[in-house]
Amino acid sequence: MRPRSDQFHELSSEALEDSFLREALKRASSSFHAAKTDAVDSMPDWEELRQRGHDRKNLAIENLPEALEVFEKNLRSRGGEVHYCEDGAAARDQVLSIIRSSGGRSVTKSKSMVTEEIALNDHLEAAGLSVLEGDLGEYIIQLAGEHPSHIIAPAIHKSREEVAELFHDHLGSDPDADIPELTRVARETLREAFLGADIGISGANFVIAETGTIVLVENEGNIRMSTTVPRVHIAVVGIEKVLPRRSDLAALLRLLCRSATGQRVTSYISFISSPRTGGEGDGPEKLHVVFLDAGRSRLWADPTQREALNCIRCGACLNFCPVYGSVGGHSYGWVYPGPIGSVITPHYVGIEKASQLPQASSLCGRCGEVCPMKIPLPDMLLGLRAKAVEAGSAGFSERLSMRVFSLLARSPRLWRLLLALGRPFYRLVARAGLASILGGPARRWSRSRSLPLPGRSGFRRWWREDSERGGE
Amino acid sequence: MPGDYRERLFGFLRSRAAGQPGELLVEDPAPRPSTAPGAGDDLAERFRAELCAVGGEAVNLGAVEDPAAELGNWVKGLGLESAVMDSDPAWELLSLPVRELLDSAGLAVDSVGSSVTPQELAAYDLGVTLADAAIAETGTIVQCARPFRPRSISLVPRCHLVLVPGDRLLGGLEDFFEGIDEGASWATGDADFDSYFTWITGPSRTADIEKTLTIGVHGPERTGAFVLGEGISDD
Repeated sequence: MRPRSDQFHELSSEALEDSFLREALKRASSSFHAAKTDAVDSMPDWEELRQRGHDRKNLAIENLPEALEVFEKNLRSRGGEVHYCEDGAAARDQVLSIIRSSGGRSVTKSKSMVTEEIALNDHLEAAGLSVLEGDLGEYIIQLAGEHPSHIIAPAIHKSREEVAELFHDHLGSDPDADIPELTRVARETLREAFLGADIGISGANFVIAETGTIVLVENEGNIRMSTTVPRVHIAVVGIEKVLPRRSDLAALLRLLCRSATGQRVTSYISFISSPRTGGEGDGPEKLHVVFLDAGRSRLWADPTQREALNCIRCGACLNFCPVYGSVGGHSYGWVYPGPIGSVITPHYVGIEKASQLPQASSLCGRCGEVCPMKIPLPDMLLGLRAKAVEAGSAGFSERLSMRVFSLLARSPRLWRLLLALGRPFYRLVARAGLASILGGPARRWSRSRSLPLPGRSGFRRWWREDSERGGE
Repeated sequence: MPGDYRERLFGFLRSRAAGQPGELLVEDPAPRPSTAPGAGDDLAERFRAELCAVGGEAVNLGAVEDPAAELGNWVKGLGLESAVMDSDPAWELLSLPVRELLDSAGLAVDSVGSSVTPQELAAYDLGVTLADAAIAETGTIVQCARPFRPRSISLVPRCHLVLVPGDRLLGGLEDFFEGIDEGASWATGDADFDSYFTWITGPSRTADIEKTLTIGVHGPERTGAFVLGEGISDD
């Protein structure tokens, strides 16, 4: 998917005008909030668990080359194959060449952010293959020709009516179908595809070095379908997904499931370390892991940002972010939205193509507090802002105003003078309404905001007089 | 060439890795959270409560008068026509006559080995298996790779019935992972946890349309788990 992360202002302005989207985001965030809060409240050891998750994941990231090597050795010893790809183009070609050499024609896919990242579907379809998304939300998005807007709930921006219309147009179902009926229609259509597919493609939530295991977490059963029925299973995996030991999953699965959907565990979790074994009648005959770098090693090499690779894609930072909650996932212009998207996108697509994203935050700090892996997202956003300025992203007016501010802030006398002069002007602006006075670039900011009318005297004077009265 | 990138990537990573050699796989036992059941807890009851809380159906047969009638009534209540069982030799070890109960509930029952295909299994209404392990903390059924059991028997039929031998019911997630690492009695023999296993916790579900919970999207719409008072290796 071609990044549009340099267009956050335009995309988010459009999103703010979309009243269904705002309703949908509100509904989703309140349901995600309630679920996660319950799940965390019912776990008195949550903080210890976060620390454990952080420490175990950090150990793998600090020892990344060894972790990958051990994983590779273990998976190969049971007949799996491992490939490494520098970028999206290399990974797409790798997947296609595996499919070609196995004579595959029809592909079912499970929801995977990394395959969105490398725009795998377009590539495979252009090569003449049939590709169907198996996750209901992804299937809806695929029929609509769109991209997911949330890591956990990709079709969060679609209403029931829109889905009914899509299914009516593509599958001939009742245009007024309710949600259970829509789900049934999808089940029937996709069931046929699953049973006829010869290639299954998935991502991975974790891979385990110690045992060469791919771990896949889901609720619908589509991942089990894609990894059980077809002859070939291809998992496309970011190189950062590795954990040291299988027993680390006790902590990591609790953290992921509770943070993502508030479940203790999801309906299905698959642990795949091998193609089908001698005695088994189903399961894939061939198992391939395609590791993707695509900017991850560059991010890894930056010690101030490395912890972003600890992300387990639970979506909690999106659900608790006031900016995401207003503008939705598509405003971020690429695959990964929300605070974590604002941190990793500049690394993956280049800071010059995503310099607005680190600004898409009020730095309220909630993302850092809810992150089950304790990733210091607010600090990272600040660090990226500094990098963007160093790279020359700040315009003339921003540089000028910061220079003036720093001059004023260093001189108490000048500061007081400006406050005294500024108050009448400020009252005038507040009375007249911001938008009617501020023009030019300030208009974008002022159009949707109003200013409270300030008092006649300032805070300093009130403080002085109040102290004289004895502070009552 | 893809092989070239492997060398370049590892060269780059090795030049900057921060860890200590050999620390990656050092044993570091996980502390058990206070929410995981421990010694003295009623595991069957905890398992039952957790599974029911997520929309599964669970009965502790060890605590009912007539286990055969309990199971038979549940199966009858499904209103199904056909069932498929794997050919697990352990079925013979149970005192509960599961196959006969299915027969007398009016289902056409087939036993299948590993040569059956997922496409064939999809024609059945009910898949019937023995759990290889179960985790009380979360109400989870575990199925691992076995030579006589297709992976999709617990996936493609409309409903899934699973019997949980009492000696395979574990407390928390840590007990499960330690058991497979250390080769506990339930994790040995032809139970192959090192190739493949799956956790099943309740029916297939989705909330992808307007965050509305809907049951039975791709996998079974009903999951019934019956915990047996007996174990398999009790004799």
